[in-house]
Amino acid sequence: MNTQSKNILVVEDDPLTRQLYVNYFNTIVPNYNLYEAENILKGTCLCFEKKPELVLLDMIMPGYGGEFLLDIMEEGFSKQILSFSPKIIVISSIESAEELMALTKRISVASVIPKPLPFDTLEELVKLHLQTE
Amino acid sequence: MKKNNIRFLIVEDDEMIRIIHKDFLEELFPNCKIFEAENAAQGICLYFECRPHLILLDMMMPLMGGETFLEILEEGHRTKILKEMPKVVVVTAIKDVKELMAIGKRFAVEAVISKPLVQSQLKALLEDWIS
Repeated sequence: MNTQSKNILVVEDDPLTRQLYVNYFNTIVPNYNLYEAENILKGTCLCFEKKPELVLLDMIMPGYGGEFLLDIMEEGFSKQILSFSPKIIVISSIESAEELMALTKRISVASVIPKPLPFDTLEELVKLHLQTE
Repeated sequence: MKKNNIRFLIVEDDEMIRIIHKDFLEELFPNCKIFEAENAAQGICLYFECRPHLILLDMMMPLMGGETFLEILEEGHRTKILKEMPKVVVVTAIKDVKELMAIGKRFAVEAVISKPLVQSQLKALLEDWIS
C-alpha cells in the first residue's frame, strides 16, 4: 500500500451522489483528504496529481466512462510507468453477469460494487483496502 | 526552456518514426532526456510521471489517439489541477485542412507539423523555444 498519500478520489458525474459519497468518506475515514471529479478527464488528472490510495469510480458517465481511467492505469501498470497503485473500487449499475465478471477480472480493479451503493459493503471494502482497522 | 536537462516525450505508435524523432532530438540536444510512448494512454502516464517540457504527439494511434491526450491536458489546465502546461507539437498525417486548423487552434497545441516530418521545421521551432 502507498503510505505516502492519505488521499481518496471520488469520480462521479451526479453532484448529489458525489456529495453523498464524500460525506460518507468524511465520516468513516476522516483523516483522508477527499478529491472529487465530475468527469473522467478531471478524474484522471486528479488521480495522477494526488496519487490517491483509493478511487471510487463510476463506470457510466457522459463523455468518457470509467473504463477510460482503467485503460490508462492498466497501460501504466503493464509498462511499469506508474509510481503509485491505487485501489480502484468500481461502482456499476451494469446488470449483465458477463460484463460484471469482465470488470472484476480487470487488473486495475480492486472491487466492484453495484448501484445503488450498499454502504455497509462499501465500508467493509474501504477498511479492507485502506487497512484502517 | 533551458537546453540542459530538457525532457521530451514522443507519443507515436510507429516504432521507426519514434526512432527517427529520437535520433533527431538527441543530435540537437545531446543532454536531453527522452521518453517514448506508443499510444496516448502510455503517453498520459509518462507525462504525469516524468513531466516533459515538450511533447511530440501523433494524433492517429491504436487504443487511444492524440485527441484524448489533448483533452486531458486541457481539462487539467481548465480546472487548475495542472500548474504548468508542456509545449505540444502535433505531428500528424491528417491532410484535411479544416481538421488541421482545428487542431492548431486548440489551447493545448503549440504547433502542428505534417507527416512526413520536415526536420528543419521542427528544428526551427525548438531552437526558438529552447535556449
